[in-house]
Amino acid sequence: MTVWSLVARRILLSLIVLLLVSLVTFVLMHAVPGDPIDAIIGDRQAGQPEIRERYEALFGLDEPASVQYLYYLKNISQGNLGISIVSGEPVATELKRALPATFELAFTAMTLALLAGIPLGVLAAVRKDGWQDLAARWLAVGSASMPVFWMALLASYVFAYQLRWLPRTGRLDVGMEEPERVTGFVSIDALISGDLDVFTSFVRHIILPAVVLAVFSLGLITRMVRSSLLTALSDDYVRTARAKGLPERTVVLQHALRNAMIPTITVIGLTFSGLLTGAAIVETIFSWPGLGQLAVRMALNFDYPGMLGATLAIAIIYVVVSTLVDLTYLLLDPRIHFG
Amino acid sequence: MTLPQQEFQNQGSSKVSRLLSRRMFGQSTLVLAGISALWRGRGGVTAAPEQQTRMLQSTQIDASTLVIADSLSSQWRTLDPAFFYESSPSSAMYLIYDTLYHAPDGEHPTEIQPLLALDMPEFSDDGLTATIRLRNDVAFHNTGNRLTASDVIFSWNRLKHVGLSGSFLATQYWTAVDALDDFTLQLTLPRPNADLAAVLVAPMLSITDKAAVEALGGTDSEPSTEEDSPELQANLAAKEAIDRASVGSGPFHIAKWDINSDVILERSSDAWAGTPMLDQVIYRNTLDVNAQLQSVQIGEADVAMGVNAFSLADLGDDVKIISGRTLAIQYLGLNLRPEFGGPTAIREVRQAIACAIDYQGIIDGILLGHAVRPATVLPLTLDGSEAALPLAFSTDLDRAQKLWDESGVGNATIQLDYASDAFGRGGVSFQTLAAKLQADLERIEGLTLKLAPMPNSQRNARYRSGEFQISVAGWVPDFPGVDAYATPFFHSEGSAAGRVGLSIPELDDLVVRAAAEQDQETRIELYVEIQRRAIEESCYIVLYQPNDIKVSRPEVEGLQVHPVYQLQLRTTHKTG
Repeated sequence: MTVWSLVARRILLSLIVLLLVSLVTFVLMHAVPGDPIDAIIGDRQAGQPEIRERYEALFGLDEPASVQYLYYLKNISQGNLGISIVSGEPVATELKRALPATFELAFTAMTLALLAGIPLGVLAAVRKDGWQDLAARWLAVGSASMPVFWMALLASYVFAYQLRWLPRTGRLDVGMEEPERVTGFVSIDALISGDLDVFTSFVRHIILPAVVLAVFSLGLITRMVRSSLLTALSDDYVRTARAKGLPERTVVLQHALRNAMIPTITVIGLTFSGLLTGAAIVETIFSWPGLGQLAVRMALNFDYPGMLGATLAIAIIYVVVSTLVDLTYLLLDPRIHFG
Repeated sequence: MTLPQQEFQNQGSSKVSRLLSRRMFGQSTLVLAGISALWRGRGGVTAAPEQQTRMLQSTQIDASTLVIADSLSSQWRTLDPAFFYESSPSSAMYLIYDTLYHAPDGEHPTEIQPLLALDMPEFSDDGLTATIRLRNDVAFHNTGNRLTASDVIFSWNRLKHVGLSGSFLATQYWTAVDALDDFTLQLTLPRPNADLAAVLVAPMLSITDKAAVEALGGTDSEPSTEEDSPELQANLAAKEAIDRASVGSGPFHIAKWDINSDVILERSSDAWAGTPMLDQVIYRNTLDVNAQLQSVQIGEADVAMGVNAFSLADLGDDVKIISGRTLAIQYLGLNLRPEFGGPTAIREVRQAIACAIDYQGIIDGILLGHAVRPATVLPLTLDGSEAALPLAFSTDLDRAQKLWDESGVGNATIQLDYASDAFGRGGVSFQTLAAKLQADLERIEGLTLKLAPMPNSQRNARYRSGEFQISVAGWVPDFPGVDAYATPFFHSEGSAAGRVGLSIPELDDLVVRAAAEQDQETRIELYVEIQRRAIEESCYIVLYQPNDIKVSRPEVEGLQVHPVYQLQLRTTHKTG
């Protein structure tokens, strides 16, 4: 199977996955007690049926659930995710605003986690049972087992409150104007517009949340690299490479690590998807204006179109990342075929 | 013993590990060095005091800018008066928009003064017509258009026809609004209302620039019966634009609207009521209440909105605590309908419950003293609330047991509904409050209180449909007048009365008479009588009326907690 046929098949499968996700989300939303109209009309209006009816009609909630779902599918096929019941804004607009912030945070955190996690895992494997291995394992277990909310509170207390090295909340300094929107990514837009003050402010603000998320992901990556590399180092091809007299660095980094990365890539992919979609707590603690924060707001207010939009966005992220992971397998090991 | 192969591997490993450790840790060091460089770029990385000061300079706020840390993304929805109903953004509404009357003093919120009106309303002899004269020197800040009676009528009709939470203000208190001339309004009232000026303080009745709203697509037309309600769609679209444009006559206008990061208000240089002392007011989205407090402590913000009594213990002298009485109440609603309430439909049971609650224990133990307890749902400060205090039930276990025994209920289990995913007034955990109530009420022999935590939406739905026994509920006022409570709670057509099933014709009559009464003494007497009847019925048991607490930087002056506006910022300034 060629790369393109793999991608085509994935797109086809992802459509089925997204359909199922939307259906399950829709059913669950309607099964949970609570009413989105209650969230927007106050106590006094709650007893006036004509007002409730008017808003149910406006948001299409007056139709039977099955009809609502069919309307929803029709709208999605036209690129319309609906209007948020709470904010009154198109859901697509809200997602478009939140997603770049989450991507910036997840990408920075993943980069930091990889930069630290892979070397640590390699070091732990090549120095198996040495003090470096022990230290790396302690670090890995410690970082993965510490609750992320606790780490976030601790980091903000130490580095923002006590030492005052880094800002406590937000994506930019208070009152700082965002650069002209080109990509939606503040970091990239700041560089495009040549506004280094904004870029520096952005970097200072992203450090704490990104490091907290990175530390949380670091443990998983370190442990995966270590165990995969240990398995690879005991394989015949490594012995052969050494027997041929290849430098040990080449043997480890080019032969063993490359193979050890195949299972690790799966973990990295899942971790990255998790960072993109599950950073709600960190985004809340650091007031980072991303998808997690938006999804929580939508869920708490029974914002049906918003919740469906956010769930679909999350599902698409998982589908895209898992496709990229599969493609990476092909790059790492050309022998791999998806039949 | 070591096998030759193992020896080879180990030697190789240690050689590689030396290489790797140099290379990989070199990379890590580079990353850290990069981060350090970024810090240094903003003023240094060590914690030396002088360098810390330099670092902080980047986040220090200009003396003409006030930064307020608030949970914007969870508590703010809009600043368009026709759609507005949340209490948290009220301080911003009061900066952007003007109402006909206002309550400038947070400590005396019932002292109503004219704002856009020239003087207080003049009532006809039968009290069914109110005439209000408008100022003729008011201009809207974005367009410079002169404010006239047509802007008032347009704003109120738009609110009414949007039909959302605040629209009752434009439907219940008058049946018609007419312009006698450009600067005179005539309101036709369904019944005499001495509280009319207080009603007109509500931020939802703010006046918008008709021409500007229409230019943004807004309309005051009645929604048609078409399924997609084009008028509502148009007003929804206009709301989005109004949040970014601002169409008021207040001293500030909206410069930025992004509830996920900041909402920025800028001073309007040509404000009709005089130039404010601040250039900018920035509301910074800070969801976590600890982060709000820390932001003030480290100088990232000037005011923290979400402060509860427990946070105050750790505060030092570097911040200022601002506290004031609210007009909010937390109460128990007890169902009078036998089919749903069961034992709570019996008056003696309700009175027994009222006598068994340790009110002072709740105020001292859960709110650390930052609350008071009115006799009924009429909060202290409002007409007749102080005078009714001696009528209130006090904690008396013997009386509670006697009443319970007299009720003839014997052994009974009563369910207490409360929200498990929200906090009560004053930042109180409902779980803690419910546990305290359970401990208190189960001192009555024969009574078992079953705690029923549930999502607030579900509790609301049960409460609103009247399908509950006891529900922990709250109330905040829409305007600083006693009728904001009396009609909804005591009149049989009131929303709260409908939930508990209260319907007493004599009480209805008293509520209507009190609302119409212009003579202050008679009015207070009537409200005391209403409360006496309400205490007898005991279908609402008020637990507390919390204080509102905010924390600010020491240099913030003139900041006042306000029961309606949350914060009175029109007179706020900074000394440095």
